[in-house]
Amino acid sequence: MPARLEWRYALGGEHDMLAGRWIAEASSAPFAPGQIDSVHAAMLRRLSAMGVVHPTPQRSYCLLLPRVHHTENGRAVLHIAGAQLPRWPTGFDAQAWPSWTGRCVGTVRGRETVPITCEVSQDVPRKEQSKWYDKLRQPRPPARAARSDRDPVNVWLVWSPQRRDSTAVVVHGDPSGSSLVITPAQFGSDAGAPRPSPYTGRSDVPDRFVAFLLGGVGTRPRAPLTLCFHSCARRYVLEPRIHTLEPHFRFGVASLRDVSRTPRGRLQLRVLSTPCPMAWCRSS
Amino acid sequence: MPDGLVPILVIVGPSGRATTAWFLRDIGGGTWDWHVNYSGVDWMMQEALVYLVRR
Repeated sequence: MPARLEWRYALGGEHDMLAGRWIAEASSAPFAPGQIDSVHAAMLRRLSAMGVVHPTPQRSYCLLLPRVHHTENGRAVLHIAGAQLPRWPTGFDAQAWPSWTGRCVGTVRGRETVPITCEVSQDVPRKEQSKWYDKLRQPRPPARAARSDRDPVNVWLVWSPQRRDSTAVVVHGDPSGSSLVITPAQFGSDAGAPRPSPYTGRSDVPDRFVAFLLGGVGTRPRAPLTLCFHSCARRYVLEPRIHTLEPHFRFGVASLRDVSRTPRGRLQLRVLSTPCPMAWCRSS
Repeated sequence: MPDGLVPILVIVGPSGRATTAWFLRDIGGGTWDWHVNYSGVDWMMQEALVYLVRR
């Protein structure tokens, strides 16, 4: 559905407000058959370049070309899906997946070559999703977890098996609190003797616990990270492809108005969200 | 805000290192706010990222 965002900036006494609202527009005329062919060709070239499909004489594909949606200003949107993603994400730690989904966006300007970008993600089997959910929500320390002065219970570590991932960070803590803790990863392994750590805090096991990786900050890890408490008597394995949160939006604090800094030495900001009227918002 | 999701604010310093993630406070009407003391911290050099988490 063609739509545009309409922004409204309202000055306030202490708080400014920036509100965005989706405005539906009239449907655009469908693309001509030749334009649709160009979009499909560009999409296949892009998916091939990304390693999603592998055109070889030995391998055949049955392709159902997706519908090309004409949104606005020649923008073409395609929702794609496929069976078998043999090596994804590309790299040394790629895995095979039973199915995948994606979205491509191109621009039709009357030329034969259509610039297009695609985003593809593997479909994690439901059985595997529940396994990770259980790992994150249910772990408890074993009854005989080692606790002593030399093995303080209020120490935690994040281990990374890859040196290049040592700038990755893990966010963890009790989601019913007011803040979460951010711990950078350390290169190494949780096997063997525990090491001292500068990260200390609550020693008890919270009733509710959440841990995840931050997209958009530091290195995006390629291998699973291990968050260890109590010398790994309680441990959580964070899989980057499943447990990474992407930022919804970002901004520089310097771009806030002066009024955001109160005379009492406090920084304040406000986020206003409005319901998204699109069907795809409700389903996502 | 989609049902059940809560925004958290992550502050990233000039070195690119994130320090703490704060939950924004729900003040009703689809509005969330955040107050923090900034004395002693050069907030102007910071970047803020907002993530949505399920509480």
